[in-house]
Amino acid sequence: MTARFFFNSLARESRGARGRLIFFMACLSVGVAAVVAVAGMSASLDEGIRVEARQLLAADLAIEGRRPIPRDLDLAAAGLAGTKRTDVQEMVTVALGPPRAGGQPGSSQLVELKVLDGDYPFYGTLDLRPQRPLRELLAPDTVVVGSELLATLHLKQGDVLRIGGAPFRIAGVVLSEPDRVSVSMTLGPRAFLSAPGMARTSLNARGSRIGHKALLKLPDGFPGESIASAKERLEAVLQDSSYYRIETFKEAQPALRRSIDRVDRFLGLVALLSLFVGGIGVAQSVRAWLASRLDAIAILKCLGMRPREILPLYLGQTALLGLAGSTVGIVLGAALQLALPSLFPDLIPAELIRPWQPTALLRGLVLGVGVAVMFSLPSLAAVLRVPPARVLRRDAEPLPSHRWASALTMLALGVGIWVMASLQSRSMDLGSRFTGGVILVTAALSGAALLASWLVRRLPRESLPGRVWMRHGVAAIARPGASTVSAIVALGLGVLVVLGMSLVERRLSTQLATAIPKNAPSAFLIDVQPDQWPGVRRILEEQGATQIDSVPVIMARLAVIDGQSVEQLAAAAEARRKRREGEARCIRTRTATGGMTATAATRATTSRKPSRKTAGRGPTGTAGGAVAPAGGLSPASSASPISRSCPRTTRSSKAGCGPIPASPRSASRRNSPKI
Amino acid sequence: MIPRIELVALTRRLPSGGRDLTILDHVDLSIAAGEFVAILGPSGSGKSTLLALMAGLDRPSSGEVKIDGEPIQSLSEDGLALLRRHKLGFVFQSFQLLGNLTARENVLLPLELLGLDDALTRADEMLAAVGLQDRGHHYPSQLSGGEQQRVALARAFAPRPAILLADEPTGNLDGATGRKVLEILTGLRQREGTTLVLVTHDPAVAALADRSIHVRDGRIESVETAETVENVENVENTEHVEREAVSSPSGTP
Repeated sequence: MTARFFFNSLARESRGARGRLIFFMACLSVGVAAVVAVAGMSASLDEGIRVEARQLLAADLAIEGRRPIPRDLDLAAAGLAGTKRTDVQEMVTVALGPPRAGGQPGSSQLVELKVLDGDYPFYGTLDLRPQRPLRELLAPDTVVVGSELLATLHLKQGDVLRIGGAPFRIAGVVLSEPDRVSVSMTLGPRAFLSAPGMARTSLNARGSRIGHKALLKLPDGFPGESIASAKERLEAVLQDSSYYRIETFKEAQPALRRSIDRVDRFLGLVALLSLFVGGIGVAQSVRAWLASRLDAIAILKCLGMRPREILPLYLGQTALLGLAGSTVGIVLGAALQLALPSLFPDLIPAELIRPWQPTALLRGLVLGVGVAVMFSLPSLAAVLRVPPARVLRRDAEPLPSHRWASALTMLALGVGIWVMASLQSRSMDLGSRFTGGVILVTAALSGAALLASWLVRRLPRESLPGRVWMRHGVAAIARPGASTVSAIVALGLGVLVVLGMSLVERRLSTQLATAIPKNAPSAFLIDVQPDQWPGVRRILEEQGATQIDSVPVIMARLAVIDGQSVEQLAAAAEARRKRREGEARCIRTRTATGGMTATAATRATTSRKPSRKTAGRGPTGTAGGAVAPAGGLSPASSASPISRSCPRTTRSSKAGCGPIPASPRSASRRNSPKI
Repeated sequence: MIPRIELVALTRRLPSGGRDLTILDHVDLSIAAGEFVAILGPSGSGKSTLLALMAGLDRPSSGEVKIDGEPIQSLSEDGLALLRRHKLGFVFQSFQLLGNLTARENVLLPLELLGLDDALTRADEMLAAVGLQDRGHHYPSQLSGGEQQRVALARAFAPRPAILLADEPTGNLDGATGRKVLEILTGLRQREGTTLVLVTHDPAVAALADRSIHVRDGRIESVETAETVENVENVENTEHVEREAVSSPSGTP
C-alpha cells in the first residue's frame, strides 16, 4: 500500500466524521485544555522569572546574611572592579499610626521594613507616587510606604507614623517593587527608610532580627555567562563567607520557582487524570464507530486490503480526530492561561505571563493525540478480528485473536500511561506510582462493575420494584454490550479527580493542624523588650488571656559536633552529596524532608550531649523576648554553615520551612508564651 | 493442465447448540481456467459457504482449496488478502459497495491496492463499460439497485481478476434489471476470459453456465453441463441475451 493510497483512504474514511469529531472534541478538549493551562502557566511563570531575573533580584548579584556585609569588601580583588553596591537592611517591625482622640494609642500594623543605603533598584522599576526617585523622597525623617499601609492605618501622604520609636513623615507611596513578587508570602506592607532614618530608630539593637543584603551591579559589558565564576571569586574574598549566601540573577526567586514546579507536577497529574477520563470516552466512541464500520472493513478485506493495512488506516483516522480535539483543547488552554491573571489578579502576576509557550502547547497536542490513540488501541485491535466472510454472512464468527494481541495492547496502554505520567511529573518514580494507582483504581472499579452486572443478572427481573422502565433500566446494566465496566471506570476516575483534589487539600490542612502541639499558644509575640514586658502582660491579662509565658531568646550557632567543626561536616556532606546523588537528588531530598538544615540540626542537638557538641559562637541574643513555636522564621539557619552545604536549602529555610536549630517541638512547648 | 480452482474433500463444520453442524461435507470439485460454473441449491445447502471457502474468506474444517495448484488454507489473513487482491473479484447479492466512497472511488479502490499507474483511466473505462460514465461522482445511496450492481461489476472486473465469484448477483434486482446486469456480467467475462463461479437460485441464470453444480445438504448432488440442460425455460431467450452482451459489452441495461 503506497503512502498516497493510505492518505487517500484516510481522507475518504474521514467523510461523515463530523459527529465523531464533536464527540472527540468533547472528550479530549477539556483534559488537553487543563494540561496546556497548567504546563503553560508553569512554563510561563518560570520563563517570566528568568527573563525578568535581573529585575526580580534588582541587581546582578546579591550577598545576603544575618550579619552586616563587610563594608570593606574588596570587590576589585574579586575581579569585579567598577561594581556598584547598595546596602540593604530588611526586617519585620511594627508601624504605629498617630494617637487617636482621647489619648488612645493609634492603630498598628506589621510592616516589612527595607532600609536603603545607595541606589535602588539597579534593574527594574520602582513605581512611586509622587513619581520621583526614591533617594529624593527618603530623608532622615521621612518614610515611603506601601499603599495598603495607608489604607490599613487610615493615613494619607504627609501624615506621620512611628517606626522603632521614631516619627517619620510619609513622603511617598510605593505601588510596586521589582524584587517583590505578588505570589510570594509577605508579612505586611512595605516601608522604606534611609540609613540615616534607621539610625534614628531603636530597631538596630542587640538581638534584632535584621537581614543584611548587598546589591551589586556589575560593570556594563560584563558577560552574563561569567556570573557563576564572579560568584565564586566573591565567595573567595568574602570574610566568613559561610555566614552569607550569594545569589545571582540567574538563580532569582528559587523558592518561588520550586513552589511553581511542585504545583505544576501536582496539577499536571490531575489534568492528566482528567484527560484519561476523556480517553475512556474516546475508546467508547471508537468502539461504537467501528461497530458501524464492520461491513466496510469486511469489504476492504474482501477486496484484498490486508489487516495490517486496515489497522493503520483506522489508527490514523483516530489520530486525526485526536489531533482535531487536541487542537481545540490547546486553544481553550491558551485562552484559560490568558484569562487566569485577570480572574486571580492577586495570585498570578500578569506581568510574568508569557502566553506563547510552544512546549506546553506541544505537550497538550502529544498527550491529547497519545491518549486518543492509546485508549483506542483495544477497540481498534478488533479490526483484526473482523471476518471477511461477513460480506456473505453477517453472523460469521470473528477471526480468532492472536495469542498475545490482548496482552500486548494492554501492555502498550500501561506503558503509554506511564510515559505520559512521567512526562507530566518529570519523575519516573512519580510516574510509576501514578500508573500503579491508575491501574489499581481501574481494576477495583472494573471489579465493582463486574460484580454489579453479575448481581443484576441474578436478580429476578419480574420482582424488581417500580414500573417497566425501572425493570428494563436495571436489566440493561447486565445486557450484552452494555459498556457497564467502561462507564463505571470513567465515572469512578472522574469522581477520583474531584475527590483527589479535595483529599489533598484536606490532608495538607490536617498535616498543618497536627504539626501544632495541642498546648501550642493561640498567639505569640516576638521582639518584646524587657522593659516592655510588664505592660504587654497587663494588656494581655486585661483581654482575658491565660497561661501567659515569656522566655528569653538566645540565638546560637552550632560550632563543633564530636570534635568536628560544622564547616568540616558540611564540606564532607557536600562531597558525599556530589559523589552519590548529584544536584537534582539533593534538591529532592531536602524538599521532601522539609529542609535539611532543620533535620540535621535537630538530630545533632537531640541525639548527643550538648556539652560535647556545641559552643555558642554567634553573638546574638535577645533578652525578655518571646519565641515563636516551630515553623517560625529561623534566625540562624540562613547563615548556618550546614545550610551553606546546599544553597537551595537555605532558601527553603528562608521561606519559613526551617525550624530554629533546636528540637522544635520541645522548644515550642517549653518556650512559647501561651495566651 | 492445472485447474484454476480445485476443491479436495472440502468440509466445513460450524458449532451449533453444543454440537457441530456440517455445512459442507467432503466436496470435490475442479474448475478450469475460463470456465463458467453455476452453483445451485436450496437455501442452507452450503452454496455461499462453498464460495467463501474458494475465496479464502472462510477456512475449511478439513480438506483443501487450491488456486492455480497452490493450497490456500495455510496462508495467513494477510496472505489470503493478497491472493484476493491479485486473483479474485467479487459480486454480491447486496452489492457491498463502500457507502462513503463515490462510484468512481469504489471502482478505483482495488486498482489503487494493486498500485497501478493507470488506475484512474481504467476505473473510468470500467464505469463506461457498465454504462455509468456520468455517474462516477455519485455515492451509492444516490444510485438505484441496478446501478449499484453495475458499479460492483465494474469494481470486480477492473483489476482483471483471473477468477470472479458472484453470489446471487441478480437476487436483489427485478427481472428486467437483473437480466441487464447478467448481460453485462457474462459479456465482461467473455471479454476478459475470466473464470466465473456464480451462485444462484435461478435455473435460467444457471443455464448460461458451462456447468451447473447442484448442492444439497453440503454435498454435490449432481453436475450438468450446458449440453445436458434441456428443461430450462427460455433457454433460447437467454442465449440471445448472452450473444448480445458479447457483441456489445458496454451496452446500457
